[in-house]
Amino acid sequence: MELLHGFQTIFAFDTLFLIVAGVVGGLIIGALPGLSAFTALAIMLPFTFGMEAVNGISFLMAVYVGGCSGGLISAILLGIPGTPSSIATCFDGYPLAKKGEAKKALGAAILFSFIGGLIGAVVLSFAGPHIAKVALRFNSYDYFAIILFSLTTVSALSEGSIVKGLLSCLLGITFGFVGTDSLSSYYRYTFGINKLANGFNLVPVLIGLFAVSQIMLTAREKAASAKVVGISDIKQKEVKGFGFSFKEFLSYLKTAIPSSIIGLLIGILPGLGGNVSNLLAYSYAKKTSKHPEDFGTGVVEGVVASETANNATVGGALIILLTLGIPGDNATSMIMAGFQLHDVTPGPLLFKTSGVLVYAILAAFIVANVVFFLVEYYGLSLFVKMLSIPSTLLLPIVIVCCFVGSYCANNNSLDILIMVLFGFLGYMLKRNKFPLAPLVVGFILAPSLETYLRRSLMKTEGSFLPVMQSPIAAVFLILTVFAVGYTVYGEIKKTQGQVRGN
Amino acid sequence: MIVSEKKKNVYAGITFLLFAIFIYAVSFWIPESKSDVLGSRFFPRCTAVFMGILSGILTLSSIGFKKSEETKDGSAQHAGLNYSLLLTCLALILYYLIILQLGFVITSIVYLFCQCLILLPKEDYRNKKKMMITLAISVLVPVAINFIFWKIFMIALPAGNLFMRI
Repeated sequence: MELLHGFQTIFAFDTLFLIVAGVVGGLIIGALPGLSAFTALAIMLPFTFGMEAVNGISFLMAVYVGGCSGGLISAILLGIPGTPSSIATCFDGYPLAKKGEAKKALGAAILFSFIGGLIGAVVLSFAGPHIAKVALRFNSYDYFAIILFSLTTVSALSEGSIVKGLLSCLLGITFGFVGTDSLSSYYRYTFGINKLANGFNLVPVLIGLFAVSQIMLTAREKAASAKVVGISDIKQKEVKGFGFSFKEFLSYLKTAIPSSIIGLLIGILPGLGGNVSNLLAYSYAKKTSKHPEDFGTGVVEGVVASETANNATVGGALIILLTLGIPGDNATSMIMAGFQLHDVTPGPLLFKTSGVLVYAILAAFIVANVVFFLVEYYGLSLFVKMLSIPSTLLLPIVIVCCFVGSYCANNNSLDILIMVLFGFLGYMLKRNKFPLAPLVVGFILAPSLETYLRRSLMKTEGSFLPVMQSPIAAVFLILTVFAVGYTVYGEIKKTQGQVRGN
Repeated sequence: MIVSEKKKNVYAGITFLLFAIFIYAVSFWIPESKSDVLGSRFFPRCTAVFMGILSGILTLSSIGFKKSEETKDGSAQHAGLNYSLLLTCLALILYYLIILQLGFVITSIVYLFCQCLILLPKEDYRNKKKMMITLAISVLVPVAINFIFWKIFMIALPAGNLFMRI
C-alpha cells in the first residue's frame, strides 16, 4: 500500500523526467570504458542541489541503475567492460559479437539485466521495511558488532592483499576522527582550522579519491584508455525482438534465477558489490553447465549470469543502505552523500520518519529499471555511437563537474582543496594497489563504530561481557572472527602455492 | 629506472608507519575526556597502533619477498618523469587557486582547454578539427554549467574575488 503511495508521489512530470534523464545519463557514462556508475553519480550529484529531496534522490537512483547497466554495451561491442560489474559479460558477450551475434548478446543482456534489477527491486521493496523493523530493536552493542563486521568484510574481501585492505580501512577510520568528538565535544586533528570542526565532508572526499585520481591515472597513461577496438568490420546477423525464442528464454531462466540470488546476497554483504557478483555468478553458471568448456567462446548463458547478477546486486546494496545506513560499495557511498545533501539520514528510522520519501525512492528505483529497459532496447544504436567519445575529452569535463560538486556541498572553498588532496591520495593508493573501498567505508563508518562502542561501555560501566551476551552482537562478532580467519587462511594458502610454484 | 612491486610495498609500509606515529603523537594534544571509560584519545591511538603493526607486516613481508617473484607478473614499472601527470597535478592545483580569484567560468574554460591538451596525443595538436572541438567544448561546458546553476538551481558558483572588488 505504501509502495502505491510512493508511485503516486513520483508520478509527476518533473520527477519522471528526471528519472528518464538520470537513466540516460547513467547509461551513457556507464557505457564509456573507464567510467563507472560511481563516476556517473559524481557528475550528476551537483545537479541535485537545487532539487527537492524526492526528485534529487530519485534522480540519483536512476543514474545508479543506468550507470550499472550501461557497462554491458561496451562489454559486448568492444570487449571492454564499461564498468567493473560487466567484466564477466565480456567473456562471452564479445565472442558472440565477433561471431556476428552481437544483437542476440545485447538482447539477452538487456532483458536479463532488467529481470535482475526487477528481482532486486521487489526484494528491496518487501524485505526492506521488515529488515528496518528488526534493525530498530538493535541496541548500541549490536550496531557496534554489525559495523565491525562490515569494516572487516570490506577490508578482507576487497581486491589485493588483506594487509593492504586493512591499512586502507584504518586510513579511512583515521580521516573519520577529524572534527569534533561526538561524545566529549573536543576537537580532534583539526590543527586549529575551524572549518574542519565538522570533519571532512563526504562529497569532496569521495570525488577526490575516485574521480580526480582517475584523471591523474589517465594522464599517466596518456590517452591509452581512449583506444577503442570495434567490431564494425564484422557482419552482424539480423534478429527479431531480443534474438532468441521463448523456449530459449525459459532455458536461460535456469541460469538467471540462481544468478539473481547470488547478486542479491553479494549486494547485501558490504564491500563486494557488482564487481564480485558478476564474476561469481558467471563461475557458478560455468560450473553447473552441461558444457562448461564452451564458456568463453560465446555462450548466451554467460552473458545472462553476469548481467542478472550485477543488476540484482543494486537492489541488495540498497537494502543495507536504506535499512542500516551502511554503504556497500563506492557507488552507494555516493548515494549516501546524496542523502546527506538533502538532510536525509539512511537507517532503520528512515522508514518511520520519512516513510513517504522512502517508498517514493523504492518506486523510483522500480520505474528506473523499466525506463532503463525501454531506453536501452530502443536507443541501442545511439549508445553505440556514444562509445566513440574519447576519455581525454570527457574526463576534464568530469573534473569541472567535480569542482562544482565539492564547492556546492557547503559553499566552502576548503572542500575544493580537500577534493584535490584526496585526489592525490587516491592516485598514490591506486598506484600502490591499495583498494579504495575499505578507505571510504572506514571513513563513513568510523564515527558510528566509535560512538556505539563508547556508549555500550558507558552502559556496562566498562565491561565487555554484556556486549558478548547480546545474541545479535555475539553472532556478528563471531562472523567477524570467521571472516578474518578465513581470509588469513586463504592468504597463507595462496602464499604457499606461490612458493611451491617457484 | 624500474621500481619493483617489492620496493613500492616497502615505501608504502614505511609511509604508513610514519603516519601511524604521527597520529599517535598528535593524540596527546586531544584533551582527555572523563565522560566515558575509553575517552576521546582511545580510538585514534588504537587505530594508530593497528596501523603501525600492519605497516610493519607489509614492510617485512615485502623485504622477505623472493626477488624472482618481482617481475614475474610484470608488476615492475618504469618510474621516470611523467610530464602529463605532473602537468595534470599542476593544473588541478592552479585550478583550485585561481577559481576563487577569477571565478568559475573563466578558470574552467582555461582549465578544460589546458587539461584536454595535456591528455591529447601529440599528433592531434595539428588536427584543426579536433582542436576546434576541444576549444568549443572548453567554452560551452563551463558556460552551460554556470547557466544551469545560476538560472535554474539559483546556486551561485564562485564569481571571483577580482571581479567582486571591481
